[in-house]
Amino acid sequence: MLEVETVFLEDNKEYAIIDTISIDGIKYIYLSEVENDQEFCIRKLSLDELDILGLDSEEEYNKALKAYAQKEKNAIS
Amino acid sequence: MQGNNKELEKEDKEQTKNSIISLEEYKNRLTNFAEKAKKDIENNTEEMLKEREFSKDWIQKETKESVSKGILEASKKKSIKQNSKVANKRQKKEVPKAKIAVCASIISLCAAVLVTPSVAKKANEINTLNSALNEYQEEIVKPNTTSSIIEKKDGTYIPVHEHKMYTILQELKEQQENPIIRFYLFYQTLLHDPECKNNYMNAYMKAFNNINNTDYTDLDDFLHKNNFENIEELKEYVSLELQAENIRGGR
Repeated sequence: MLEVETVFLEDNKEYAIIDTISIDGIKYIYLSEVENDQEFCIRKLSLDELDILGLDSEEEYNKALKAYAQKEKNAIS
Repeated sequence: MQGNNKELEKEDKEQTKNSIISLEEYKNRLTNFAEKAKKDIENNTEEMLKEREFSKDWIQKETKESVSKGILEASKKKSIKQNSKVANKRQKKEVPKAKIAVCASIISLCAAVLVTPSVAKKANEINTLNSALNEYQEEIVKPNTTSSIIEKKDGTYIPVHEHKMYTILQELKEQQENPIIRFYLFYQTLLHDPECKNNYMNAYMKAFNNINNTDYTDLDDFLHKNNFENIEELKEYVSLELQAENIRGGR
């Protein structure tokens, strides 16, 4: 077993925090639904890190997912 | 009694150790599976298309397994929520290692599709062309084809298909107004029927010309007369036109 951090989003579902990546000073968190591993989403933290915020646009989503791919690539190579 | 407890503790530790090893192994397997799935999508080349053409099962399987696309779209919807705010209240939870590995693999797969849009574009093109070819086969070719089995001189049996080619081409013309798509569906289907390809290509090409008022001699002649550099360009054009048709038709 692995101890992970989880949070509840507005849909009242519990999500495990799979990864966190900082992009341009903003912390993006990669979340996967605990009960359904095919459901994942990306959110960001407010500057004071007290809140989890939704992303603003598809561009922001793509940027965050590309950053994840890049991190994976760096980890492999 | 104390001795028993120690033994049980030892056994318990041993079991835990074994289970950790097997979880690690499981994680490795999942990672390998994810890598393989990623490579499969990337290798979705012409060879695969040829092998799997006309296979409805394959299309359904690919649709299911084009993992990434469906999950990616759902994830986008969940992620993009302007003005959404939830308290960052975290709690700790024990989750199986393997589950976390699966979650990470799924995000990786989606990310891979996003960073290589050409892969997704190619997969989309293949799916569109296959769907159209299947539809043509099922709705026009099959109802106008009689199949039988004949015995060869050496005692073996072979299937023989008799196409009512004029009827097929006439129905195709009624259903598909774009003559280039008509040619693509007609020609691509014949190419994958060895009997047609070897014995009736010229006769069927003549029938196509008669129905469509054209004078093509073969594929190269068709490509040249319609300003396509090669068959890849033709496929791309047909795929885009079909997608446009689907959008116009609300499919």
